[in-house]
Amino acid sequence: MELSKESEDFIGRLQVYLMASGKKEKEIEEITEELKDHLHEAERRGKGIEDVVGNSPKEYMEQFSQEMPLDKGMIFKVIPLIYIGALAYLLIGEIMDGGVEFSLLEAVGYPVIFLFIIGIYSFGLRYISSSRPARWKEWLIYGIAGFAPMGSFVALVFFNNQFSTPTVEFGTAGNVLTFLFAAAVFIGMALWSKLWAPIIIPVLLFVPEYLIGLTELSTSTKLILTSSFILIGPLVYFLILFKKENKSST
Amino acid sequence: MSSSQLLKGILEGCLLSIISQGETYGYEMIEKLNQHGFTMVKEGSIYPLLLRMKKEGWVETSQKQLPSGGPKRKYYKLTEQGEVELEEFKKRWDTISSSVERLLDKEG
Repeated sequence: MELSKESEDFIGRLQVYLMASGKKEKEIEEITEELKDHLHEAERRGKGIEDVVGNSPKEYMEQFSQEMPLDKGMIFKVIPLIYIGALAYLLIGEIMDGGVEFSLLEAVGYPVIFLFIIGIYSFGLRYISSSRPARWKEWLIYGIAGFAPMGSFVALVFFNNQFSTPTVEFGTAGNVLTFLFAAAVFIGMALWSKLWAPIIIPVLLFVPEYLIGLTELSTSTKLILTSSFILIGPLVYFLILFKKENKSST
Repeated sequence: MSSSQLLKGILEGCLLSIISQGETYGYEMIEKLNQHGFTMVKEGSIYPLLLRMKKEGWVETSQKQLPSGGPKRKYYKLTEQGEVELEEFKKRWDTISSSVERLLDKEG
């Protein structure tokens, strides 16, 4: 027997809420399976989701959340891993631009922005899943969440130009070491996720730029070529992946 | 203490008592509660409590395949610690309920 649409909807929102609150995936699954079993029994006797959950789904979700411990493994392992991955991209980009160079403001700013974005996403997802806001509010939150990363990076660049803070510039040895570090991160991510993407994506993003940089073309031609390769490369890669996926699933 | 917190504590004690009568699952517990007149309890509210009771080590759970097929069902069983907690609850409840009764008798 299938669950009613309202019940499925509630289960889905509970999952999002608990995940955005940093709870363990296995525990979330256990709880939702148990609730599904209960909803089956309740619906068979003609009861609805309100009889089970009560008038305030938000309160109910919070009750669960209070009793579940934070997934420390995720917070202290996965999030730093993502951060190191992002850092590797950033550093490779710097090397391509002629060497790693960063100011104190950037060194502090990037980690702060990273945590700020995680905070916004966690808050936004929990708010949308528990409070069921009006459509326009929901879209407003998506808009803010979508704009926040770009906006804060632009702000950082702006402030970095406005105020000069002490700057570190890597020499050749530093740049080579940084490059090796970034390459090791990409390879490590590929081995860990058993996917080629962490290696292929940076290659597609940075190798064309590097090769174009070696040519004698004019600056504007270089710029156009680089930006089109950066857009087209990953796009083609994802299309190929998508086709493969579709073939193997049918 | 808010009224819901008081009810929570009582509800936990009642769940311990129901589980002590033999291995059982969520929906069955709610049916038993309803049979005893606990109609003010929202069905879903027992699950966060059960989660807490498991964390405290009062109950154990196991997944069992139903003979009718379909998804597995989660069953609850009292641990030794749970038995102790149930006895504690009974004592606490006796004190509370007899005091309340005495008080109301005097008034009436």
